[in-house]
Amino acid sequence: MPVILKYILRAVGICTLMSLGLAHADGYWTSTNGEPIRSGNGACVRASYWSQTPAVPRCDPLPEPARPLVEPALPKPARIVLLPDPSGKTGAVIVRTPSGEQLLNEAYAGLQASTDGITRSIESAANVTARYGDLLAAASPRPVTFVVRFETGSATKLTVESAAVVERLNDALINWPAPQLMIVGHTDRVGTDEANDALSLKRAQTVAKFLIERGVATTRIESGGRGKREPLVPTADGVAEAANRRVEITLR
Amino acid sequence: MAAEAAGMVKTLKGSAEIERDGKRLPASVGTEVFPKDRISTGSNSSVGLTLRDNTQISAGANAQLELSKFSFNATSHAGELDTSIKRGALSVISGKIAKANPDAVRFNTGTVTLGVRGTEFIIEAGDE
Repeated sequence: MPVILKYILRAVGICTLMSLGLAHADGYWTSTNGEPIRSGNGACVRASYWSQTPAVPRCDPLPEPARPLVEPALPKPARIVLLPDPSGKTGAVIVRTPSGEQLLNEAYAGLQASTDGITRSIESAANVTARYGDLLAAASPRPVTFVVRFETGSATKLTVESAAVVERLNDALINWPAPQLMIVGHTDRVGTDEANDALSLKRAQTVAKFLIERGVATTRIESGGRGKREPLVPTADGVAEAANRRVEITLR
Repeated sequence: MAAEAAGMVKTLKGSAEIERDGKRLPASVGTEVFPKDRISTGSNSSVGLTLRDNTQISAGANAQLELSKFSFNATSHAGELDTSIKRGALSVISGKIAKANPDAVRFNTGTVTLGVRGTEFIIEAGDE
């Protein structure tokens, strides 16, 4: 066929389409029944304003969704980090997982545990601050303990230094959030457990009364006695030791 | 007799809620917490608790924990602390219960159980 004839036929074809068809909002020519008009090879005939965006799947395949740049995240592992206390000492924790038991006992020792297993690490202080700074800043104030002392065998006679303790306690209370006191009496190791339990509790109650009378304002005061279980200065049983006859006031 | 409080809220940033007996209560500084309480924090939020034995627990943003068990005897120091972390991270400074009986203090996530010999650590829940 002469080339010129081809052009003529094509022009006639397009004119026919234009007379039959309607421009469709999707960007294709459609016939009056709404179906896209297809060329000889089956492709939909695009209108001049066709673009990728409104392309319909029945004419043009939709663009493939972009592949994610990273692989899907693995399940988040549980994490543990052991921290030193302010004096630099580090305790220990035992981590039990389905794949066994691990002991962490070094400063900044870290462990991640997931269903895939366990990874251990030593973190840096900077890493811990970066990841958990807000969490660490949320810590409640560290409980503070004040000690008042008693004359031998007495549950009522506080040593003269005790007044100064009340002053320090009142200072600490100024900015303490929702302060609570735990007042615990102790004895030296003279006498029976029963006698010392009773004596230590009496000492605690004496201190509680003493503080309340002096207007120490707290949310709650709780008293208890530890008897001779927790001597400040270790001694043999039966030894009178002034340092052990005390009441510890813990502000928390 | 009402159950004895396990501890008290001492710090709060943003918002935190306590779920107790199916009711949700907003937490504020001075709010008591009880055994079996579920405590949750919002985004950009944190809460800090101190328990009766001086255990300090703080929870960061979007955290959820349950104070499953708590008991403490101020005379003998016997007691128990069992905490479950469902979401988020906790910072913990252990108290007198752990000192007297380390096996009595436990922190659980879905995958791990932590036995506390002392004293300071962070524990963050993973995906279960």
